[in-house]
Amino acid sequence: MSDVFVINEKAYRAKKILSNVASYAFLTLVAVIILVPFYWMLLTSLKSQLLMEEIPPLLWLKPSQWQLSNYSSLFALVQSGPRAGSPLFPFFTYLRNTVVVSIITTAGTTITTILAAYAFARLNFKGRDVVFAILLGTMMVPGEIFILTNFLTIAKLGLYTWDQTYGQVLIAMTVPFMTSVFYTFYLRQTFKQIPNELYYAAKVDGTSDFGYLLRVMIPVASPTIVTIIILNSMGAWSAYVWPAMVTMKDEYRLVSNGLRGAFTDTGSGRTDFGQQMAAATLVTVPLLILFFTFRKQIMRGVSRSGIKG
Amino acid sequence: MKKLLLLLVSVILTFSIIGCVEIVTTTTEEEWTTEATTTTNTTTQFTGSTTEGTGTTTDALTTTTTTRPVVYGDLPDEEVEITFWHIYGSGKTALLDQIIAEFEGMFPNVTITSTSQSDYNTLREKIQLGITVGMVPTLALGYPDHFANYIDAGAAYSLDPLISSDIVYEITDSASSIFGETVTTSLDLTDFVPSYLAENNQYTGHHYYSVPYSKSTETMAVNVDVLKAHITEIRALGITISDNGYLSHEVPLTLNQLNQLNAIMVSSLVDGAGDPITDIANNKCAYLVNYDSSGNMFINMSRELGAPYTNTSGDILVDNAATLSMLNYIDMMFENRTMVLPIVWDQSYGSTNFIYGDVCMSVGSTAGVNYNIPANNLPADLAKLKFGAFATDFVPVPQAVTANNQAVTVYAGTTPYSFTGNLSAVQQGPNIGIFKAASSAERIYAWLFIKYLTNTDNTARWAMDTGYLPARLSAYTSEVPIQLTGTFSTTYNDFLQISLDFWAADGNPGWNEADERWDFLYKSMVANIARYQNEYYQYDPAFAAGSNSAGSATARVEAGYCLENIITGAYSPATALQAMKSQLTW
Repeated sequence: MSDVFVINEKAYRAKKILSNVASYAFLTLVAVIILVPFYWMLLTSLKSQLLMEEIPPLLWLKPSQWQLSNYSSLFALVQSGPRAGSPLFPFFTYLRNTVVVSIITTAGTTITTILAAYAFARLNFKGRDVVFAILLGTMMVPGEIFILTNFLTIAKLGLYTWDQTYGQVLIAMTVPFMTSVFYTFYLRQTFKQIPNELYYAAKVDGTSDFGYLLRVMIPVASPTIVTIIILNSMGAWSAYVWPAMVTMKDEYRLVSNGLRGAFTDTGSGRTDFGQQMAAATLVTVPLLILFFTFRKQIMRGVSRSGIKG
Repeated sequence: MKKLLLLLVSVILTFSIIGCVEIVTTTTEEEWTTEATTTTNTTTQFTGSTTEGTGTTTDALTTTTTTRPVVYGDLPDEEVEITFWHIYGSGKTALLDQIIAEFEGMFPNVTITSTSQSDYNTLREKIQLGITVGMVPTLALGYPDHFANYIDAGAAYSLDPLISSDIVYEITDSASSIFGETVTTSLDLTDFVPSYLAENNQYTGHHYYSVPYSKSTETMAVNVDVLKAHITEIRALGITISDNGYLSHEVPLTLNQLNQLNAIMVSSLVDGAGDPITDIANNKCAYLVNYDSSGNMFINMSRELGAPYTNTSGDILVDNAATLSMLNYIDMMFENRTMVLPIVWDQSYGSTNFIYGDVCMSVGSTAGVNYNIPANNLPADLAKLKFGAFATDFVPVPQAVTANNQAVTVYAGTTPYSFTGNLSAVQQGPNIGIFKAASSAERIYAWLFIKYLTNTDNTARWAMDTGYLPARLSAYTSEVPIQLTGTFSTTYNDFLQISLDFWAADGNPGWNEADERWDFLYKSMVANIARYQNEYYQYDPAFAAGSNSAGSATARVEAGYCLENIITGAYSPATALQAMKSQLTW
């Protein structure tokens, strides 16, 4: 009997080791696939133009081959031109704009999403399902179509003017993206999973609908809300087309727009990928710092909701 | 039922959103007629050519000289704000800002705000969106296909009334740097490179919606050291070459000569994988000529060999026997290693393998000249430079014929292909135009600014400072000194002379190492080549996508794919041509 137990345990352990090896091998492979673009960005940011074009590509560089001027030239002051007295790539200006836009958009989206999801999940009002169906229907309209209509709206509201102010450009860049039907749908599903008994109990205690939302619904659905915040801020961070369309002045641009054209020679059409990747690396660093700082919260949110960006 | 409802709602939403957009569609012809009637003293007449819009230079205007009484007018004296959108980064805006400041000194009531929109796509998209709400700049840079779209949307302003106006304006503002002088909006178009003009009035009615600004072309970089090693054999072919290996800079090599040079300068060695390699010991390259842009190669070869490609009406003309013959000929040149494309090495540009010594010659943009100089682009592993840091020279792009409308027979093996050829070199680069939304005062000052920006001295300054080519012929004899570095200034004429002196001394000009002429030698070389080639520049007709064919920008891309499909062996010439046609017409 004990022999059988030992054999079973051995088989179990062998199976477990095999399963662990397979899991870690798969995870390592996925990690490599995810990390390679970051490594390549870093590597390219240290290459000269010719090293970049070498075939087969150089997979690593000796420190003596590092072209650190790709980084230093980003901060070199321009003597004249629209950016006179400023660096070639006004990194900190662009970064500030991106951070501000990301925070405003994410805060706005989170608030509207929570309120809308709560209304569709909990409150009973006439035509609720029809309105929700119409909202879902808008998800099937390609996003590009909204660029034109949003642009017309922004222009007619007087937010796209020749003497556009920083306040106007912030409204123009953020307001059209302060709602998300997908996130509303996503959070509504989470809200609907919360038992009705909690609602009735709260009502018996004299809690208002808004109080119930604040004290019960939001804490219970916080992993989903964290996920929404993460996904939305990532989207806002990398937004490209809309910010490029509604910004009238160079100093209002986001890093994504700055990265696109700042390093291409207009005559030959060649892009200085070394400088571009150096700038991209600098843009990625704040995100990495953010990730490592809030790693636990992010992982909790992602693992509970089962959604990843 | 719910799904059906959802589908219905989404369809209704999509159409209602599209329907909300109101796009101004004023016809440009009406605008021109209105403007033309207000301008009475017209001296310049615009004539279309009989061979309409095929990309040749015959669409230029004819000017008749008539004696008219001088009409004096007053320039608007209100404060005028002009917005100028371009794509220049900080490297090129220093001079632009200087020119703007000079202009504002001439017209103190004018303020010009120039803004870089990063890249051409963003610039075009912002303008196209801006057209829907009347928020377009006063003037902007753009390629011909951009202006074709603006014209379609009724937003581009025909410059003809300004160009042909005889009104003379006296500068009465005492704060002006030209106080007491007179200016006029009329423009002597005969001073511009004819093909640049043809490109800018190729649109319906042959009106000018833009004028040339930052232009470039292609030239061919050659490995002087390899040429020098084969001087005797090259001279035996009747090709002019100096003792130190410099070819003629005025007379282009012909395609037949390239095939003859192939026998002398191209290696027959292959590596273990069967890929051609350079024969260093015998000074022979793996291939003869690398062509940077496959699209340009297709289009330019079409023009050289008289094979129809497109026209300004937007017709895709490639489905013809001459184009197929051309592709068969090119296929043979790919096969025998006379021609090659960078895609063979997975490269985007030809300069890398030129520097490495894989090819002896490389055709590329005048704006990318420095990438062809080995000493300025040393790789990590110097052994990759098969001929070391060799000397580079620049010559005109090879031609099929030596004069226009010349019959030529080329051979693919023993198969002869006969064409009626023309001289051709591509012209590239943006133009500058004004938008209709501007007020009449803004239009006048914007136009005066364009005139100032493109006058003889400024086009020369711009060319030397940026590496672009002058828009005006008179720039080539400009005597205005330009400060190129802190210690070096030169006129455009002297700038051109740098390479002329170098060539006259057969590559040994006797300059000391610190002489700053070395820094401008290669730019000077391509400027001279461009000058020789500008007599046969050809532009690419611009047109937007139509109901049954793609636009000119897509046609160029597909032309490039066609040649890449042939060289990679993916398609035969006939199949590649059919694939191209099926992508461009429907």
